[in-house]
Amino acid sequence: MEIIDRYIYAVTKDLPEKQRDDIKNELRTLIDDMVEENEGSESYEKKVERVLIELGDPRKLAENYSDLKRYLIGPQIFDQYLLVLKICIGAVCIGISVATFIGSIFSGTGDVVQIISYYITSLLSGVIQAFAWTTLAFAIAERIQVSESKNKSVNDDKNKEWTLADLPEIPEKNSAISRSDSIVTIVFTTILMSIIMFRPSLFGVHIPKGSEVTVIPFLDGEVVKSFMILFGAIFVVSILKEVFKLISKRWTLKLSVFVAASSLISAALTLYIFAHPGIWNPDFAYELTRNFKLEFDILSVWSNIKIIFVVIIAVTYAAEIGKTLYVGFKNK
Amino acid sequence: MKENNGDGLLEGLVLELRRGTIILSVLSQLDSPHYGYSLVLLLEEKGINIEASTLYPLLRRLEKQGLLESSWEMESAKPRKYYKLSDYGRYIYKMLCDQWFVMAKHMDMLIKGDE
Repeated sequence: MEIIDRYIYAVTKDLPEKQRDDIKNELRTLIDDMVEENEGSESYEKKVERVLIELGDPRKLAENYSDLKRYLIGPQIFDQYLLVLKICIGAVCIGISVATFIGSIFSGTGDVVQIISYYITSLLSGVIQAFAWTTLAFAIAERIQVSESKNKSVNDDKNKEWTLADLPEIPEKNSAISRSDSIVTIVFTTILMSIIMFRPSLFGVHIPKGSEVTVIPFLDGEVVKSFMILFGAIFVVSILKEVFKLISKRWTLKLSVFVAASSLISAALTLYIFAHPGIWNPDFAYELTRNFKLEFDILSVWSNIKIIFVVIIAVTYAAEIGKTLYVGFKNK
Repeated sequence: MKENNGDGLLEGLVLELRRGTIILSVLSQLDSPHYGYSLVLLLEEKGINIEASTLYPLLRRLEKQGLLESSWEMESAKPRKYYKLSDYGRYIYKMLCDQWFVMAKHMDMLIKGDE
């Protein structure tokens, strides 16, 4: 019957796919049973209607079935969310303003209208992106937090009484995480990211020529744009790392594992991007040779520099991961 | 005005009182396997009214918590999901019953002591 199908659909449409069929079958049989139990002389349709009304609002039933969190960011980390959101949006504005200002000095084109319109559109897009990526990072942090505390309550269920020893220790100097460090890291990351996304040409060799400056960018702006999502992902993971630290406030083994895992992910993404040959400005060596009238083979030097750059990234990340895990194990 | 409020209030309080006993009621009947609706009828027969829309999600949650085991009976025309106590569920049920008796004794003392 159509009305039964509609009712079951209304209950199950937003439930997790894994349970959906199971619940559908169960409900169908239930409705059938309840209708049969109803021994009145009414028509079948009337009986079905009565049963469905007895079962009540499908949304309520669905709510009983689902145990998912119905919020994106919970009250426990909401203050940190606002803090980081303000910082990121502020840093994006600074980053884009500085990049546009410096960029317009160097490029020397005096078209004020063009510069201002570019400035405003980048600012708008930057603020929206900062908002979106930061929110995503916190939504992830909320989910990871939640699963942590769930495990905890299961363990606690086993009659473990709270004792004075359970009071969290006031972090010692070497295990405490400096809040300002995290904030500085967030600001720096955000500014760097907003320059890469909106003014990749600022990273390059700047050659003053009279009153003008020629810039030979290291990177290919178009290709950088095509990697936007990956840069965004790196940004999310980097912010996530600092969010974990801000929430935890002190080093623990668990925190260090999360932070190390985040570093590993952003290392992988960064290496993936920079190992891509197209990311580098293909004309860089040629332009450099032309501008400086170089006599030696800049091409091989340039390709070595690219390799060294990638190696430096890898080594830096490896060192950071090692350090993080070391601190975590020390404060186990 | 006060009396009207009192009725709603009483209803709410009774509901709250009953909510605490639902799980115990359900566990008590699941030594042998039952499907959801047969459990509704069985409990109703014994004077405990639980709506199917409460019971079905609850059974699922108890299964997830490891207190119940389930199996689908596909042979008859209507597929039915049968639930019964797991070993862990049986253990928890026993513990809950102990708690219940202690609580009931204390409540008795509290209430009858007043008379």
